[in-house]
Amino acid sequence: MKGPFAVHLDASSCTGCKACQAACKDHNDLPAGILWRRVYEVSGGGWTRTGAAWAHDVFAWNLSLSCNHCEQPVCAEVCPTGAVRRREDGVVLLDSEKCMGCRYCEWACPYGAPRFDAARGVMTKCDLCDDRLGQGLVPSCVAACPMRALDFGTREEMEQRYPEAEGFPLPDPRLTEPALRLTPHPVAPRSEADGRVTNVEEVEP
Amino acid sequence: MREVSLVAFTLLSQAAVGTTWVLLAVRWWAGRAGPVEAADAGASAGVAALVAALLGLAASFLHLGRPRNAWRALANLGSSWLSREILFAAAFTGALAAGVLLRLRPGSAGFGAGFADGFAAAIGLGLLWAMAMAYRLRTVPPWNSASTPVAFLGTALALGSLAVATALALGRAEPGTPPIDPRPLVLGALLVLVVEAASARRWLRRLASGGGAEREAFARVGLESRRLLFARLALSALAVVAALSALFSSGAALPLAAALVLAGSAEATGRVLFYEARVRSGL
Repeated sequence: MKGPFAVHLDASSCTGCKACQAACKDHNDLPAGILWRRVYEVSGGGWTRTGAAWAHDVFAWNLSLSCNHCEQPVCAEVCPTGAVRRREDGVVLLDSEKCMGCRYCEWACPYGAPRFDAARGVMTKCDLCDDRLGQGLVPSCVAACPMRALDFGTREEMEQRYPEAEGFPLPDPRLTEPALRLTPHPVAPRSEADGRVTNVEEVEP
Repeated sequence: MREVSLVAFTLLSQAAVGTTWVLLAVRWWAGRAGPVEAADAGASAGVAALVAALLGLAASFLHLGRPRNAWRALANLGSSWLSREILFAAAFTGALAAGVLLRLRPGSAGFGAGFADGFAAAIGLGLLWAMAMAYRLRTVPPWNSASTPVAFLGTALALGSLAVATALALGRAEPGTPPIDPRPLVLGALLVLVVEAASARRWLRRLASGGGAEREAFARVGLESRRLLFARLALSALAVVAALSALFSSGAALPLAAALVLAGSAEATGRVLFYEARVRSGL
């Protein structure tokens, strides 16, 4: 398969089991505190009293995200050392050996994809399991998903099959043109007004 | 706070740029009165600007995770405003150092020093612009507005005017030094402080009425850090009082120095709040 690639998340079938997160951490041998793929828990709603009765409109859904290998990667645009670059096949790679650890890419990325490795003093990020791609395999997160909520293919194919990734808590896709497609959870539209990410401590350690 | 070194770098660099501009204007104005006045006016402010620029550059290294790779920082001049900012900061400091060194030689404050001063002032403008653009990230809405360059320009002009005014007031005490009235500079600094306050108010209103990232930034700056916000306002008010006191005491050195310290503290507090407002679009 030739790039550029894209990932699709079917949020309506994601159970939030975090197998993708664990597989990513395992395959890339990531140290404690660094998550290249993260599962955000979005929830909202509450209880309302009507007369003597209480009714709830609580909702919750999950959003599994890593680097979206954007077509206009703001991380590569702002990196002063040129450590981040977008390869011809669309994979955005970060060469930690060139990084000076200014964390400017972390400020700029609207998906929080670049992660700082404090022990090494450099940024790190998802490389779409470049070694697996070379063997004709899909990224480890996609392979690990028990619900098949994650899908992987060429960008063209994904764009034909799935809608654009937008809506709370995602940024406007026009900012960076991410290679991410999203089938939203049925309750996702309610998150615009009432939702919040409830596991911030877990995904932003 | 990790951004302390960046607060120091941006403030010191901007103060150095502002001092260079104001000093150039004062020297030009003094040059009309005679070459001796032009050469000596506010010499200590020039040295202070160089020290500030050097300290700022040194501070900028403290926030790097791997400083030994800092030499690579100019590798992405084509698209990174941070790369450009670093280039301008280095060139500005070099030009400033050249100007100061040329003035150290007796009777040498001629064309060479003047050229270095003018070059430093021009590069300083580039530095300020690159610095503002580096923070005007399209993915960080609270920073991506005209308020950012206005705030940086305000810092440069307010601190630069007060630094040169203080140097002139201190210089007047030395025998044989031609007197230059520092009060027009104090008036200028007061005007800048007023414009800065109006711009900051407008920025806060924009945050309060903006989208998700702006509203979160407002919650951080206006609510969670309200004590800092009040401290910034109080320090600015005290700086204005000290500057007014200097005006009415014919440009005395002590109230001017107090105004400079208070304005510097107000700017530092404001810069901490600026970094507090770093909220990205999205996650």
